[in-house]
Amino acid sequence: MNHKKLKQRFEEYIGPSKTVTQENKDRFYQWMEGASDKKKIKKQKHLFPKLASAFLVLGLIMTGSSFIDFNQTDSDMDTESARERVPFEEVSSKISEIEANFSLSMTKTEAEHVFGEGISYTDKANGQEITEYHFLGTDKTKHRQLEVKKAPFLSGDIGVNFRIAWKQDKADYAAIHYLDQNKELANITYKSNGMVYKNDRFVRNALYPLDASSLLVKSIARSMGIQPEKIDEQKLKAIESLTLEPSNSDRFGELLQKDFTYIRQMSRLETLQLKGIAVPIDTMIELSNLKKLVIDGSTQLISSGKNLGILSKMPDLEVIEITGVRSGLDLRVFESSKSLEQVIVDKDKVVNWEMLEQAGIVVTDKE
Amino acid sequence: MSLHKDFPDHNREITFETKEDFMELIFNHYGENIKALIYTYVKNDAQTDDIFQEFLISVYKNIDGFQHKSKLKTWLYRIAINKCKDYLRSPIHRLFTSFDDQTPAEKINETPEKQLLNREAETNLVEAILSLPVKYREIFVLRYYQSYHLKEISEFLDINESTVKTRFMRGKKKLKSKLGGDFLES
Repeated sequence: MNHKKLKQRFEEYIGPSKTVTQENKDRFYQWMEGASDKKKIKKQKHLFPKLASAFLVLGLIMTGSSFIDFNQTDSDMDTESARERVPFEEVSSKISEIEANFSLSMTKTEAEHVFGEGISYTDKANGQEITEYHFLGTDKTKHRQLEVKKAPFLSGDIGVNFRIAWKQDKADYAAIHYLDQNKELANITYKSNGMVYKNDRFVRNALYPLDASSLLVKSIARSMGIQPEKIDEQKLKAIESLTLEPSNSDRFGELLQKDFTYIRQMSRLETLQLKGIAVPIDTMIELSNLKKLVIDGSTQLISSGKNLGILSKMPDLEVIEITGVRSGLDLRVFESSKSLEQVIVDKDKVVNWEMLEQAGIVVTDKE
Repeated sequence: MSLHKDFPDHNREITFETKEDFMELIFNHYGENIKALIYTYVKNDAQTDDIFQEFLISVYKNIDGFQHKSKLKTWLYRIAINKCKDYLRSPIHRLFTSFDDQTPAEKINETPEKQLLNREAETNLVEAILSLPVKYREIFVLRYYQSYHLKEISEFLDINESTVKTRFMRGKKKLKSKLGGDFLES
């Protein structure tokens, strides 16, 4: 694809909405007017108010210092100690409590019943309604929306920050922020597809019993014609045909390392269809009963002669269908296969397919 | 303050009033490209608008500090790119990013048939680029979408040209393995 065509496709894909709108300008100029007003106010200051301010500050310092000198009380000591973080044990216990009680798709009323009344607001970035809770700490931030930064956690103002984003009165996604044992800002996030991450690492699936990516769980469910909620490890052993395909909401999703462990458990799998999803070759060779492999738009497996060689040695593999094949793919490597009966491929884009036919393997043209 | 040659009136001092002219120049001359660039980082219209606003504020606040060590365009791109990266690094982004959010809004209402047709023709390569990790994605977007040379890209990203070349080659390998072929010209 040449440079010009690719640029056009980018433009088509990203769309015309990236032009600078009047709204963009208005929003900026509104901000600018505010900034300008502040400047004007600053310029209007004269010597008298400045002097008055200086005397006032001086007076306050003198009064304050004498107060500190002669009235060092327990309450001052309390303020001092409150500048420390909330103990991690308390934080950890609160997080466990949240995790035990929160579920994706819980309603606002249910959340209020469990967690109490939080701070509600609409997120300006995406228009989504948010409820925010501040747990533990000195509660200084209790009544206002908090930007997640380390400082209020370190100072003990807050122990745990918990936010729920709502979609039609159901919890859509959520995040818990806290300081870990090393006083580093940590997070646990619940994505709308059910996947739960701790510091960006997948830990579990909150929607389904199988702790796999939602992409895998939903693919298995579609292939078996049952609800994703019913997929467990037992079902993996029973599945005979699987199509791995991202749904619209998983478009940018990929399989997790943990998913490949589950795929390897599919001991009865006979047909595997990969639609834009890559499965590593070391996982493929564990599927000893595989009879048919369809590769559609995911060409990682056939990108190297080595991978093709390994596939050709799979003991029961009878049919390979490849769509979206790169030009010049050499099929000769399949010639030595003892099990392969049919290869379905666009003959115009491959070479040496005649050799397979001579070896008794049917090559079916797929345009 | 005088601006570099890609600002039309480069010998003029920028006072408070001419800052507005300057911002108009940004809107009219660079706005669309910058906004589109921001979108390729955050993949969400509402967040693009927010970051674009932050970019404008940052430019406005820092015009006086603009040193002529770099071109105006380079300076603007750096600000925009840094804003995007700050946003992507922020815990707020992690909270407000669901997989649903990453689906481009203009595609949602298309029929499944249309999506299927489009996917083949226009989305495969562009989607593959946009799904690359940021450090590779930004290079492909600046090279193929915004048509900059690797030298300019290295200036925008404030990294060595050799690093850009390495990332470009690695990104190409990733695309090749995703798509099963070399679809890109150098």
